[in-house]
Amino acid sequence: MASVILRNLTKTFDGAARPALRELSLEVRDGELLVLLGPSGCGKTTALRCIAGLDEATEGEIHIGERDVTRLPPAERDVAMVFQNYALYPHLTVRENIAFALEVRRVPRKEILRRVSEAAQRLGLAELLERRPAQLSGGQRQRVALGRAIVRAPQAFLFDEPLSNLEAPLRSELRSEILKLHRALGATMIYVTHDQVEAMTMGQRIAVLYEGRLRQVGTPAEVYARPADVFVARFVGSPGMNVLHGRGRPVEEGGSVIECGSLTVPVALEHYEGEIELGVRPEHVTLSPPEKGLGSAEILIVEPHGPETLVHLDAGGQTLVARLPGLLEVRVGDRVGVKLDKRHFHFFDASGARLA
Amino acid sequence: MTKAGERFALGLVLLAALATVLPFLYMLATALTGQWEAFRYPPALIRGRAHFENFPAALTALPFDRFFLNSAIVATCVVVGQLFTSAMAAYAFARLRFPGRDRLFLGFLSVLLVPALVLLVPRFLIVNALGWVDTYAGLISTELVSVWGIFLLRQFFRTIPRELEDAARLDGAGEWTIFRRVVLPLSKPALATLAVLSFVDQWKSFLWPLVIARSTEMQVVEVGLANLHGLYYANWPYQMAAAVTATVPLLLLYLVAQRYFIRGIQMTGVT
Repeated sequence: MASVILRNLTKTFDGAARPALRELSLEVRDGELLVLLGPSGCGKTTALRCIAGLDEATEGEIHIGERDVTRLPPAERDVAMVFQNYALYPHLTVRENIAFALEVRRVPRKEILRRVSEAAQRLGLAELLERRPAQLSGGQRQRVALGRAIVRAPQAFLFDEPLSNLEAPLRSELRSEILKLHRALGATMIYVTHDQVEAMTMGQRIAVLYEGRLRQVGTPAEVYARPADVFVARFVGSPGMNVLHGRGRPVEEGGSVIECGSLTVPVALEHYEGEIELGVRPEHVTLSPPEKGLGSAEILIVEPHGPETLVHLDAGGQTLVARLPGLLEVRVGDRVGVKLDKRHFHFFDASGARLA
Repeated sequence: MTKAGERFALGLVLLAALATVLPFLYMLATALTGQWEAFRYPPALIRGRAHFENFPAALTALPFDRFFLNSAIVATCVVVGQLFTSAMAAYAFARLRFPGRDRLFLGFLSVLLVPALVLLVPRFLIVNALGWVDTYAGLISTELVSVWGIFLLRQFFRTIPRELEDAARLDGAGEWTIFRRVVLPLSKPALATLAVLSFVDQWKSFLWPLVIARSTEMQVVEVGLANLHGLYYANWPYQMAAAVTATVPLLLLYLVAQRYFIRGIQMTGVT
């Protein structure tokens, strides 16, 4: 196992106006599971393919362990990749699929047999070894792809949205399977996903990418509790953070208020003037009778989930979501008061960057 | 489509099928007719007893066993050669990255527009200069590369998911291993299609063997049939008996490999 270090990694595809990846610097520690999170087109897959050597970096360096692998072909980088579409060889059996890399590298036959059956055992594939990929379910196929990766004992594992093609129950099953592998092998893993739930539950650290740039790196708790900018705030969390656009003005009694839509929010910022983005998570929004609270809002949508209810509100043109415990007796079109928990405010400047 | 429309279409197809099959039936009928009955008017498909003796008589009038052997040798060598060259070139055009690749491919494709007749004389001059007239080398060499075959396989290779190639690269495979162990095994249907169609093409080939093969021992079946026509121009049953025999290998091939013929048409829009 080894660390993976990216330095100013930039990738511009031929004929593209903008780089797909801009000056990405990131260190994945030895044995760490790092999640690259972002919406589609943010550059996360590009980053992964550059690390694998399937795409060549336009600028910057990639180090795996002690080696600079920036210009090495994929075969010499000693990394394994699990693809979204499994990418199993359809003409080979499960056994041959898992053994392929070892055969190509001329590992002795006996050793191949031993390692393939060990990997199959670990992933519960022993019964399926003589089948072909077409005879397997999606979950089984992805297990075979995992087997193909672990059998090589590579320096690092790369996962490219490996669970996106699976149904929800299978997804959580394989999620814990991958976590188990990570613990058992102590392997360095880089895991690409657009699913922030996957990122939160799997990553030891999360790197959030957007428009080819790294926005924030941190533990799931850090990224959730202190998002670095408006994009991260909105993207992480389900639903994401409410970000209200407002104007601050100082008040005579000291401090300031921010006026966003129909809400007037007193904040502890000293004499803040001008445009500002106020962030507050749905769980820190509560409802009150219309005349109380920071202002009134109209209920747009009610989503009962059982243990909680999501209420979408329109506060004078600004939409926000409240996450409230249990099932609620509210109706679409009702006017209610809105309360925000000021201990959990996040402030961003007009460009979206976090203030303090 | 409406019921009536369907019936009309079916009728049209049946008519076309009949028009295709009729000459073959007539050929077969004539091959089994006595020499003079063949000229009876009006012509009929069934005319008295079947004259099976026409077959041995026609096939020994000229050394047809040798012709069949020659056709088989030439067709087999050409099939193997075309599979090899087409697969390699198609892989390069489909998967490798090099400057001018697509323009070069268009250049290759444009050769399809040149009638074979135009190339006959230059080909002959080259083969003659090499001293290969009246040899297998002369019959085979200029047929070893098929632009159509390259086109067919390139189209097929492009449908193989790129992720398989990526996975193989990460597994440590080089270009040759990817080609031989991933792309070729996955392309069996396309390779079979090419093999079948190129075999048929060679079996039917007439003009080039006519030009290159001088001695009787080097003749192929198609040219043999033409020679038989020269010798027995009034004996239609003999000629048809030989022609029927020449068709049998193709008929068998078609029965066995029908789906590859169809696939070839689907994949390229060319027969």
